[in-house]
Amino acid sequence: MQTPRLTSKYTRRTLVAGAAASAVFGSSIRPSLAAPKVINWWYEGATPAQQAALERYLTQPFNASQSDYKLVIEYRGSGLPDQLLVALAGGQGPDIVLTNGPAWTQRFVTSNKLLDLNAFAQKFGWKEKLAPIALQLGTYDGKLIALAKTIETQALFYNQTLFKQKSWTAPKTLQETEALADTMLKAGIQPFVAGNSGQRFANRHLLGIVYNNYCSPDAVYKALCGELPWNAPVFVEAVELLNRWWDKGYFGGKRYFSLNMNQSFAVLATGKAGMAMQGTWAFQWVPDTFDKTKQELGITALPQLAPNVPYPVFVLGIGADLAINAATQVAEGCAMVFDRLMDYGFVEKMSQVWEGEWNIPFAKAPPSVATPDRIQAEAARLRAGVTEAHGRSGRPRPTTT
Amino acid sequence: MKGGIEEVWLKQITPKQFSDRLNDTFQQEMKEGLVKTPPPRS
Repeated sequence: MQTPRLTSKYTRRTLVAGAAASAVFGSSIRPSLAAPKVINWWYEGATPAQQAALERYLTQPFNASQSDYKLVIEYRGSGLPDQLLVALAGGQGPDIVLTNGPAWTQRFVTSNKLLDLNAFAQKFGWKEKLAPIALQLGTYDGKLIALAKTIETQALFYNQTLFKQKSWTAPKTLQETEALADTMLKAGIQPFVAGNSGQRFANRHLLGIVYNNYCSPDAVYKALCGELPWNAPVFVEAVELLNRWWDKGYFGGKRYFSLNMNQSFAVLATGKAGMAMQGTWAFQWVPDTFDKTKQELGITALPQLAPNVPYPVFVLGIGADLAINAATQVAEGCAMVFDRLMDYGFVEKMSQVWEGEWNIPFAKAPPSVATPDRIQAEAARLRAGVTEAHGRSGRPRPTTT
Repeated sequence: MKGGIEEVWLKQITPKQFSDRLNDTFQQEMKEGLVKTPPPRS
């Protein structure tokens, strides 16, 4: 699908018309030339409450703060990645390009569809504001192409109400995990909620977990550098483990294909399932799940799935990248929007409404915020811990929850 | 990688075949410059 960008374009004719209008109406009426230029941002999906928060904390303040640009956000849903591929290939698409992270951004880099942000980074001081590793991951051949919009990690989420009722404890090893999962199955409880309906990328989340927690982060790093093949025995064993769990019914069998991630998370909140190996993006589903069932959510590190793997492991993921379309006419305005996002106050406000999706990788962990909400506090602690662990050296250090 | 694990679960391919395919794709993309090398670990 190709959709024309909404960015205003001024022709010589409109310039002349604007000048004429100015002459006729004098200074009491704003000439058409001064109309703000539209900055178009295609966003993925968001609930009405999340959209309202973005309007309240970003769009309205940004548009009120200056008269040169007008930010317009369009919610495109889960089709966004494919829409971007088609639109940018045709030299169209939004001014602000939101990708699913560095691997996705790479697709547009090789075809020169994104602007170099180095000049803006200099102007706005982004290199001081953001964690070096996040900048490195957005840099391609010396050009800063993308800024990480949100960093995330994966953890073991569990229904604490159910665990208390059954006197279960969260597993820390492979043996404990399988023993507990088998006990759950016998009790008619699904061990792990998971689903990929309309979200086949969710398969990768499970693979990432077994690769990191069974093979080890070092093995994954070597494979990503081309120093260890992805069909090395340790990776095959990890896939066999995931296959064994599937066969035992740990993920609910074919229900996996009929539920998406948030629908499956809702099952966890009912107590019909015990655990979820999920990313920190799952925090955004808490208001519609655990808050409604009034059950308690527990969060801890993912279990160590092989004895040689460190524990705990908190991987660093970049869930979304922000970049500027090379065909834009409003690059400066896009950079001004990015700069608004890189603000502790903005992240704090957004996270109260939309936790898990606005984890800007600041160079320095944001100041701690007192909140009576236990889940928000847990999410903030996890966010700060991941930033701190990965932020400076680029090498993750163990953290605890 | 996105869809392949489903083929393992549905017994259409083995874990080894899945891993071979993943490796072939990755090595080819790396050759074509499509893989972003992660930053060095200190």
